Amino acid sequence: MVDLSVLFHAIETVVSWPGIALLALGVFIGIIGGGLPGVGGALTLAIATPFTLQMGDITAIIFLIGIYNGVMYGGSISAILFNVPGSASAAATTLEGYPMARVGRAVDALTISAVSSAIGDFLGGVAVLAILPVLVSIVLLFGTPEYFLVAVLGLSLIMVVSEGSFLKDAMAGGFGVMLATVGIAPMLPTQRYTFGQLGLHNGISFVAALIGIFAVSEMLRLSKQGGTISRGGDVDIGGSVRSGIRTVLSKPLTLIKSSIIGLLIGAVPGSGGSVSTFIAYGEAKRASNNPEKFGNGSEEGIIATESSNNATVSGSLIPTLTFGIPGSTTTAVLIGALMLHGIRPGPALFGAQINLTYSIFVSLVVCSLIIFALGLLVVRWAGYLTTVNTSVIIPIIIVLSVLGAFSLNSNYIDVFVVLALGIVGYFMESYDYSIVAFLLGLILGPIAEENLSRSLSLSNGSLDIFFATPLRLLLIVATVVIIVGPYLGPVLKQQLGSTSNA
Amino acid sequence: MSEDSAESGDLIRMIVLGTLITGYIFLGYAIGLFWVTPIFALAHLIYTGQKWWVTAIITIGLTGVAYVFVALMNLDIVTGGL
Repeated sequence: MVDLSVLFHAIETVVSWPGIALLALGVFIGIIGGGLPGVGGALTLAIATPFTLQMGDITAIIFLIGIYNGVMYGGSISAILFNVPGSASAAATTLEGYPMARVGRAVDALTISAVSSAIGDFLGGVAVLAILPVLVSIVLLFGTPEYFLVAVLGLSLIMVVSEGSFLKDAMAGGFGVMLATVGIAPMLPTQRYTFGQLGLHNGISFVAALIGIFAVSEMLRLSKQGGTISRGGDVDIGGSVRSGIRTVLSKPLTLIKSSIIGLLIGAVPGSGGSVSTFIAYGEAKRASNNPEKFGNGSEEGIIATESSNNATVSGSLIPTLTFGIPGSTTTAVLIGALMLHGIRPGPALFGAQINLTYSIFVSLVVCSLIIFALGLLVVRWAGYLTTVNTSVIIPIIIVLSVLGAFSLNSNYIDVFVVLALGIVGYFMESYDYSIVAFLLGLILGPIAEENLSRSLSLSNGSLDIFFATPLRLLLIVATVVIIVGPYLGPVLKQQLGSTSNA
Repeated sequence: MSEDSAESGDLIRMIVLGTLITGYIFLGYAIGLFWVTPIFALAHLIYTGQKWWVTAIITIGLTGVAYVFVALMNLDIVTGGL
């Protein structure tokens, strides 16, 4: 049962001043960030995070949630107008959006995208609000040993997110864990890799590392590209807002189904919008009465990809808030922002700070209305966004990144971290080292270490504490399955196949 | 041949940006990020051949942003870290 008093308090927080204004501003900034190819959600959030230092905890998080949602919709603008997805999660939208724009139905496509995104957001937010009380009781079962095991489970997800060489991704994850060891050890007064520098006693700032990995490395890549963002030339911005809305409302089943797909896949750490949109797209094509239209400007295709894309936001916040495991790179930055405001994902968010948790999900529902209004407002001039020269964007992003990093702790070491990790991030991306694996290591390494130390203190050094309850055993089994599954799965299949043939 | 020269041109652009960012950060550490911000923006915009008015607007705008960090967020980016 939803705690109504907490829910009403959250609604009041979000819709009152300045919450609602910051949410709208966040969505607007997110749309711009999402609409600029190469910028994307993680980078927009990383740059905006230092600006929230002066805000209250709840208003800051509401503002950042607005940006996250805006980015998810904004990515579709350049995907539709110029065949250039603003973010990976908008890649599937290009398949149908750009062909529609090419035949003079850009406004139709942008409207369908805005309305589908808004509805996906709404359905995702409401669904999570409904299951939140169940989540609360599950999360409260977790203690220190469980958190260590969950962090190890999260680290093992590097196997799941690995798309190329597992060795490279394991190295990227290990590098993240190593960086997180800099500073004073969690339970002991021991300095590690501080080289006598006072500024390194608190470790490497997570947000500064993220700014470097995303902002600086991406700007180095954009500088190689040069020219304007849009390379497809002018696109005819024709069509009508009304017909776009009518089209979306005539496909309720596609909307609901795609939103559910987005919600469920978003909740799986390491996946995210880029996976859910393609699955929703495939399902919409399979179930469509006109599958031959897909690839030539199918409205159903855009409805499926955009509603699942925005519902992914709600889904990805579940592992983020409950266990601190990022569902995507964007939620990894969000965890950094939460930590910057002294908020640790975990049981506290479902106990003493339950107001914040409800406010986050109420923000998602309110965001849907803002995206609906702003989205329809920007459709006619959205095309200008993608004609910006990358050489103009680069100094703006670099200056905001450097000043933003310095503002975190007034510490020049954070600025040097931005530079160093920017260069490292560029080479990691160039040589196919997973950034998601690196982030998993950077985020979960310290959580694992801290909870391991605490658990061993509780058990006087005995490892039996990790096998003491069925929940802990379940977490160990899940970790083992994730690690050995990809190797054992094919062998077992082969064995079963040969047995049935015999 | 022409592809090779385009690729080396791209690489040179990236190396120049990398050098400018490194210079921005180290010089900022020495004399203060506030003073180096307009120099960095101006240098990059001139190197990439932007129109004079775009260069002027972006440079002034970013100096304004740096001033906002000093005035509103009370950041000491005027004196440097040495």
